[in-house]
Amino acid sequence: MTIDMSQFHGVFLEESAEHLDEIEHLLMALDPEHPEIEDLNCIFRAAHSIKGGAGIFGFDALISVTHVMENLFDKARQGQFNISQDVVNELLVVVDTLRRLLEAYGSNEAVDWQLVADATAKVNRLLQPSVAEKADVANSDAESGFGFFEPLITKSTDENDHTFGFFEAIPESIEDDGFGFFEPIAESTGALVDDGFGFFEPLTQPTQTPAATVTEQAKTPSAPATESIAKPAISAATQQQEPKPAAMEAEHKPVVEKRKTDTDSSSIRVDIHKVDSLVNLVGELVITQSMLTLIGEELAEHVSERLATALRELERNTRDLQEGIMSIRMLPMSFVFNRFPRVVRDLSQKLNKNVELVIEGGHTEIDKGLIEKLVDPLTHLVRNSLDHGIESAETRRTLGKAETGRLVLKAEQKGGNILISVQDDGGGLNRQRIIAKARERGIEISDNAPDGEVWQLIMAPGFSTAEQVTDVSGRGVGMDVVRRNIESMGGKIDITSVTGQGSGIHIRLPLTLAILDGMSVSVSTQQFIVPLVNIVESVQPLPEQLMLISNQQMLFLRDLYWPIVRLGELMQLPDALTDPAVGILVLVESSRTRFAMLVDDLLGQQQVVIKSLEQHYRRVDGVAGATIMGDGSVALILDVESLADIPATSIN
Amino acid sequence: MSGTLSDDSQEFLTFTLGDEHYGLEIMMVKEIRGYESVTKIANAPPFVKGVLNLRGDIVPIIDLRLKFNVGNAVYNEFTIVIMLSVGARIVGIVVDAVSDVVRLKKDDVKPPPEFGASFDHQFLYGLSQVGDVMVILLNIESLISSKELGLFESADEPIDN
Repeated sequence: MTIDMSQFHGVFLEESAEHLDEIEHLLMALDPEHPEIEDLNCIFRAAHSIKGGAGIFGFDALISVTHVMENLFDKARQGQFNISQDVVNELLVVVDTLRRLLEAYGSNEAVDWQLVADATAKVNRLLQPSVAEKADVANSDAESGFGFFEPLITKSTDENDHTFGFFEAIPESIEDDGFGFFEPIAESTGALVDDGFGFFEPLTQPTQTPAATVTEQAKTPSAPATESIAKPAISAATQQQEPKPAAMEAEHKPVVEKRKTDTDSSSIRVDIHKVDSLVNLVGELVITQSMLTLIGEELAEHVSERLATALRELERNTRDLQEGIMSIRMLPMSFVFNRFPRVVRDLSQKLNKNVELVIEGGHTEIDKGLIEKLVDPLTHLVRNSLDHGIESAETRRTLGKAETGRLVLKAEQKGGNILISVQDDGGGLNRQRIIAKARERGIEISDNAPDGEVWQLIMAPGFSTAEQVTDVSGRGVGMDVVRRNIESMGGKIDITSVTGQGSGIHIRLPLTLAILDGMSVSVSTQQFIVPLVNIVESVQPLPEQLMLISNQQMLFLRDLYWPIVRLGELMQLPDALTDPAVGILVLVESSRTRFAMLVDDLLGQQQVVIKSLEQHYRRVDGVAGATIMGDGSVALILDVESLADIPATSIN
Repeated sequence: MSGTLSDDSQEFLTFTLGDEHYGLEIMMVKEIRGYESVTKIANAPPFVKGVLNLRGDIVPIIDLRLKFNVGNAVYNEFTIVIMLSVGARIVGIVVDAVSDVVRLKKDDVKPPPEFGASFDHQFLYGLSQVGDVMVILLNIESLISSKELGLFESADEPIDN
């Protein structure tokens, strides 16, 4: 019997992706100087799981890369290989390669074997010197401490040894830190960094940047001859324990435990469609239940009372059921946040800035659909903060700030909303420059406009200040796109900024994509839902507020002209009101446009469950989706942004 | 009508539009229900009556009488909506009445004559004599997903942006 293995591919790929995330996460958290043996085990196991699965499916490229990785971590956990910051850097690149391979297998593309070969070679290269060195050390096991330092002495003279020497350098600095004794030396040699580089050029890897990690390595070469005599003597004692650094560290770091408990909860994998159909059904149940309540009211008194009691019970239960099912779709924000340590690390190295990333409220739960949509905007905001917000270490020093910048990613739940903020302690937004730029672009803004208004300008379409474009941000995804993304999720963005103290972007989102706060309005016989985020206010206009400007009816309200759009006309409802003075004008605003929408009446504010119109029909201009009202009828949810496009075509 | 189950026979649901009898493959039918008021959709062709809520799904409703231009498009308590499953989609069609379920062998189905421009014969499966009436068998799947109906694709319409 043959089994179609391809049916399991999806599961394998998904699991592998999770394993890779875990590896990346652990690598990032790994303290190269005192690696937790349990972390190394975890990485080993994750790599092993991927390899095992890949073996079953014959994904050879994955096997070869994970195999060498597995080797490396096997050695590392046995203490035969020392992981340095640079090894972590290289391994992160290998993790990226693995991801690309997974994607290739997932989309049935041809595997880039060059990539595989590069990655394998890279890991082997990392591994090799240590293996060679191990042989050395093994010979002089008793005096391992000394054997250890031997290459250090030879390396300055012996050219061949240079990778060798590099790996030697790290364990040394590890020992260094362990002893408060050598701290002062490291500090004082800070200034010597450059000299060290010049001298040891061939010994260090070209990828290094003068970030914190490097000063560590510089320590060793810059504290040569004089210290190397004293050092071996002291470190020899600890060197013996070297294979089990974790045992030593366990006492020092009880903190590490915390993270484990988060991941240890048991869970099952369920197809999201199954959950969605449950959400759907329970929504129906709520509607059916409210219909029953209506019918119950028509019954004879004595029956109706008993029925009403039972129905109230039913209502409570259905509501609980609905909440429970909705919560299945919820995932903790850490799913999004966990990718940022890597982003911040890579970027800060690239930009040569020292940045500390603080994540708060990672356990806050949010709808899975929103999680996926949040990644891009948040990445953009984080990049922005790193690139434009946080200053370089030198600038910060001259400004009297801590050299290490601080970037806080925070999520918290407030009522039915979730607040996500990206806060940096950089220079803040430059008010004058934004105003100047806005004027250049023809946007009117008064000199003493409130700060909030000025900051909003950076999210205007096309508002990208050219001199800010760098390799890191300004790659086309502007703040207006971020704003549009957030608004498409029914969210709102607020910006705060204090010159010299940093700026913060605060995103307010509904807890779930499926529910929207809306105003229900009636036009002719139909009901529509206007998303509350778009509504500025609703007015019953006075005749003198209405005017005609080049054949377009306008509402003049508090110094602003609002073009009037008749919803009934747009939605082709013949019996709708046409005179703005009789109906109600709902003033709406989106990132691109604002106008006054004429409706017959306001029915009230309510939360609605968003249903897709495109699932069984097609996209309709001006409509974002549909919802089912309490009586079972369908109401369309308006999309203010695309509604604005309709008058442009039908009136002009 | 043969009572035996054989590979070359198919069951059809027959219904009427005005005075005409139509049939469609029964496997496409999800359910049959009475007509309820629908929510109108802007910029839709007249035969698209609107959408309604089918247990949480927002389903478009097509009036075949308007589409085929037969009978009077009246809506009363006898008006019927046949819910069809076309692929992953659900579409309702409005008809005057549902008549019967018939099993037809391949041989019983005659190829459709050319109807001329008014009725694209690609939507026809064939014609069959059932009792004393002539039933027009529809290829409902190709009709529902046709560009002409414009139900699923917006490709035939310029997207303004």
